[in-house]
Amino acid sequence: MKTLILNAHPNPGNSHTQQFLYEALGGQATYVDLSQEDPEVSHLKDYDRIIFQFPLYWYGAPARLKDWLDQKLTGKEGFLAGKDLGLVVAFDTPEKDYGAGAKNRYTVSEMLRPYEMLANFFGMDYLPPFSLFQWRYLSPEEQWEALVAYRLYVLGPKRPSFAQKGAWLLQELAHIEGSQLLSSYLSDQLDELADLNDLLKGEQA
Amino acid sequence: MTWLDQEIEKLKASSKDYKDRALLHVLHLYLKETQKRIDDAKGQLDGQMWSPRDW
Repeated sequence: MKTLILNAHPNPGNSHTQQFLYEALGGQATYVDLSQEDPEVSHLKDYDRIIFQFPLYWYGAPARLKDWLDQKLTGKEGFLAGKDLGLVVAFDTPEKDYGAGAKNRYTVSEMLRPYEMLANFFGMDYLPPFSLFQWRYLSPEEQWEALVAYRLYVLGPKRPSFAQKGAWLLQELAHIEGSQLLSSYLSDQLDELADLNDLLKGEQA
Repeated sequence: MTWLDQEIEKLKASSKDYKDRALLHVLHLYLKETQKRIDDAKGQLDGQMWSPRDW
């Protein structure tokens, strides 16, 4: 699977969060900084998954993304059919501020509806947005978890089940030197859980 | 410390890559959750086997 990330931060080099996300990729996706580049829409057809990545500015993306969409995104309905559209959004505010009855009243999903409509127009599969809240306040362990979750979102199976996440982790583990014992253990655990779940389904039928 | 804890810590210590250490940390959490689900599933199966209603 080929992933394209379109980063709409006005100056990602000056952002700790964007630098963190960039390093997390390990060069495994095509990364475009929209403040420096102006890709053509036809370029999008080369990819399976397209990610709009940006910090939240006044409940939307920075102007650069809207500029690029307005100028470049001319296309027929269904032009990008079958491809995924994902959003990676960095927040300077806490998660608790989004939702019914919360400070900002609406959920993140509701706030980002225009992108879902865009995906629908172009025949794309719109993925649940990936939100990263206040990265600088995360503990080291939480940052590790955010890094892996980001890689899974950008590079891994979409809407992964627990088992699919395990299979993806097994793949990722393969390149760590000396991890064969751990890989074998993970594989055995996944098989055992799958067998037990099959038995349970059989018992309940 | 279990075998799993030791194995994860050993690999983390020998890894120079931040991403690898992150992966090992998440894998550790995932394996603990997997074991919990295995134990729950076994418990559920045991419960069903011993339930007179299901005989």
